[in-house]
Amino acid sequence: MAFTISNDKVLILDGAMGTMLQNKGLKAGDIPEMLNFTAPEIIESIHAEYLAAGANVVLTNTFGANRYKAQKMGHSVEEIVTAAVSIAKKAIEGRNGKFVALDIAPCGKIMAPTGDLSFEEAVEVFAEVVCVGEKAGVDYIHLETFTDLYELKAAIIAAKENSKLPIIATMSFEGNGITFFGTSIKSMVLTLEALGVDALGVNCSLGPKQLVPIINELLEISSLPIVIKPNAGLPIIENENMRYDISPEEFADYIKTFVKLGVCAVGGCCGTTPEYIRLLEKNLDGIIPGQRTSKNFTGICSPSKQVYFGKDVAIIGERLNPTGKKTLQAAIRANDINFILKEAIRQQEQGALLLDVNMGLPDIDEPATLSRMVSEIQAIVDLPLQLDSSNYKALEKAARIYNGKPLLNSVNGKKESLDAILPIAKKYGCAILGLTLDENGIPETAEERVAIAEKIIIAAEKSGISRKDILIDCLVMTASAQQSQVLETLKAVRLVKENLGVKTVLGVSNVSFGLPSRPLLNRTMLAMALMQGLDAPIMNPGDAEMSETVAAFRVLTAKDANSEQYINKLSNFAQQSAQTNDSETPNLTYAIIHGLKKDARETTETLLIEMKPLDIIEKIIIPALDSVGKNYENNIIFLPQLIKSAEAAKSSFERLRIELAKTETSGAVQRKKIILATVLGDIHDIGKNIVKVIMENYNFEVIDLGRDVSPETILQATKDSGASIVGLSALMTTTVGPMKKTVALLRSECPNVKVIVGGAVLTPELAKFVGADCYAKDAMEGVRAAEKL
Amino acid sequence: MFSLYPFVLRETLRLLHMDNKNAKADFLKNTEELYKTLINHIVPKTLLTRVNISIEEDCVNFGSFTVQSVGLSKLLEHCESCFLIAVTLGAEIDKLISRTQIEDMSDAVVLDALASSLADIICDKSEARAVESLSEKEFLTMRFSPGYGDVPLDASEGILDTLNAKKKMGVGLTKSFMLIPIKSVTAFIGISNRKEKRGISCDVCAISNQCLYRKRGDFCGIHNK
Repeated sequence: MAFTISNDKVLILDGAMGTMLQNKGLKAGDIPEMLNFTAPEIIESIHAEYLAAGANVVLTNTFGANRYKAQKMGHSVEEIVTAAVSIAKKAIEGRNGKFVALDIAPCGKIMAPTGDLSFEEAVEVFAEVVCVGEKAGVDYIHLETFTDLYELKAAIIAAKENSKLPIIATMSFEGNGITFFGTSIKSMVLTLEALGVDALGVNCSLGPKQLVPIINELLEISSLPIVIKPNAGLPIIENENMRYDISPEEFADYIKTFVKLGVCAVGGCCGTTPEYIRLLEKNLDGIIPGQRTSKNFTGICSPSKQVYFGKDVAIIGERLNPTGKKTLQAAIRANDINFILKEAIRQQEQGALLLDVNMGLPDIDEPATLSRMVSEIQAIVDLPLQLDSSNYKALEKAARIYNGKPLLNSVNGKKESLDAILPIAKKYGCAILGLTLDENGIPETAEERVAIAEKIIIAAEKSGISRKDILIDCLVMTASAQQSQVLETLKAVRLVKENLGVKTVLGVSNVSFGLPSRPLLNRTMLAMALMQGLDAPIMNPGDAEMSETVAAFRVLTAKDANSEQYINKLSNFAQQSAQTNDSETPNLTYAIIHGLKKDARETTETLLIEMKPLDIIEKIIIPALDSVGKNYENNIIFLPQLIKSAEAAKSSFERLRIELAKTETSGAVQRKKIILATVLGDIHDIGKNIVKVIMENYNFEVIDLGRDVSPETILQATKDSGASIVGLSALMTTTVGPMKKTVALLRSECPNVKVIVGGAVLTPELAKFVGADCYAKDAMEGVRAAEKL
Repeated sequence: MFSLYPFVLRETLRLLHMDNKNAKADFLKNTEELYKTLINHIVPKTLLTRVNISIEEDCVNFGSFTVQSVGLSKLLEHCESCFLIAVTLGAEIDKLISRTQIEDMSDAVVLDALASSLADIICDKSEARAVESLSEKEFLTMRFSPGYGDVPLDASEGILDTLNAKKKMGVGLTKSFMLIPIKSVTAFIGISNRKEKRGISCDVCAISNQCLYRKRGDFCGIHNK
């Protein structure tokens, strides 16, 4: 009999394995999976006790069975998993309606970018376990105790790529409904449903009492079968012994309540024993799970934030698309991640609820660039993303490594597009944005566009993508060229919503190309489209008039309760303009020495009226920075002030560079190139980042390679850029080795390049040991050294 | 958490090589604001357990793991048991510090120092509670973390595994044994049969040669005064 899970049938899972093993003498720090070899009879007897108590399912003793743990055990993953599965299968032998689940928990390493486990390595690690488990004959895959949505996604992808077995996935939440790694319940549900697991839920961390609100939320927002394995309450210490505070009787009562509400699979985690399962099973006699309903939210998410379309206007920030944006194009080519991150942060602050990310430039490796930028943005900004590319490979790669559930921009009515995009969306759990065009181009009438939308929806549903995960863009045409088309687009928006019941997106500002006073047309078009039922405009959230239109629309449609946000937004705006009017114009030297960034930029602007850019640099900025540097070296000012001054000078430099580019005298301020990197194995990069800020303001062109950078990458970047200096940083003793290796590699391949090293663990002696030219104790010393080299 | 601010501030200023005299009023005001932001972005957790130990040839045996270290063996020479401690401020603060580095590097440096100081002070507080569980004839040694002196960084793995820290508090290690979240601490605190010096000599410190505190005639937080 094949294993199945459904909303209308109670399934009883087993209780804790670890607790039982501890009761039998396992000590803290011992590896439970070792007992699969040293005492298989104990493991089998625990399975048997749970089965006798009424469990339908036993989880194999493979909680931590992965390649990292296997190393410590001196056994292969294959040996551990095969042994565990055969023990569990022996235990269910001769019993009807009992199943063996392959238990898989987090692998113990932490996913990049927080930690250093790459997504692909995580997929590999879980794939090993899945392959062995399936071969050994388990009935389904049980992923549990995950606290990082990203690691869970890797495990689900590994399971899907290597097996056809059903998947149950549960995470562990803290009392506030968030995991250690910041995953919220809503994001878990959106992501796992889209990835296509068979059931989802919670286990461990909390007792049934604390899980009440979490389970209620799950039932409210998910359509899938809900699985719970609570702890036996919270741990309490009594006479130096730990026990849990919920008795088997109380536990069984809680479980009964949950099942009546709609939970269908129940068992126990830490602290539970066969007695808990026995009472729980007895208590559920004749009870069927409460009626569940299918939910119809259109949502996407990052691990912590969600956007549900339709409830409110969702502004999609359009600024991370290089089309027509020269500075962004330059930043993408130069791999200037800070520029891109700043743009992402700014759009969030301006009110975007999700960000479109497009890295489409003709002469770059778009798949690699898009996925790298998506990871970088997700490390810093918690908004959900819309992955935007016409390159299918780029979309697939980015969808695979995206943390959460993204929106894919885009698919259209062409067969080629449907064939390429729909499988990506299905496999990686994405919502899709469908454009109403096909092999014949963009149709003129609203009805024809609706027909294409319908075609996309039918094809998507056939591929297993739910209608709620489809959004449609009816395409805005320019009023200057195709005036009559504007109304057709608006009509199509209304028809798509009314007739097809899906949410809509529009790139509003296309309407005004080629006409004067574009903001006026844009905001009017926006208001008209919102009135037709537009759910998510793709726009520049920094466009004050458009975002004010959204604010006004939200008041007039009663989405902004008591007009609170409207009043707030407009009064902030008034305040800001008042401040700008009041501000004096202090001089640039003062602004740099006191670290006043805004003033530095503004005074530079004023100075440019009467001074040449080069004069400003030589006569004002350099002397000011010199005095700042000396004050720092003499302990008159300290690191925070030094950085503030450097950033003030930087804002002035940025303005001057625009001016210099115009007059083509930039050759006169040719900057020395320096590569900065935190070496392989080291994830602490704040020190390196400080050096970067300071260096940039002593007129170095810094190429920042980030943290945990391999010697080969540093060598390649040195060759590619032609930099004459490489600065390496390391905080911990274990990374001195990689530093030495990096220097040796540079010496053999680029003998003329000079190397400066620094970081907490470094000393002048260690600098010599690793073969560097020079040691710098702090950022200022780094600048001085680089100037001399 | 705000009640800890005076202690955190003192330690933060020390990390930034500043003191109350040379910190200006606007800097202090901004630092206090940053501390308020910090405490809104942390979920502090502490795990502490007591294990029996034995020492043989500079190798300390903690039951389920061993650590080869002259410094640690010396620290624990009068001990038959030892506390293992792990503290974290949670994963969110790492993200906030990264984000602040993009927005305002100066604030990021202060925020980073505040977070490191707070993690240390939470260790102090847990240590103070641990003292209450001791008998009259038991005394604590100083707190000693992997990475100090000759204690290898991989010693953190034994501490975290014994405390089941990945599962209970979300703290793990990178492949080169650095703690994640970054604002986390692991340490040993010996339980000695005599009153111990609560400090460490600069002689066993890995960076004594170029220590900035020593250069200024000052000492770091762990130095044996």
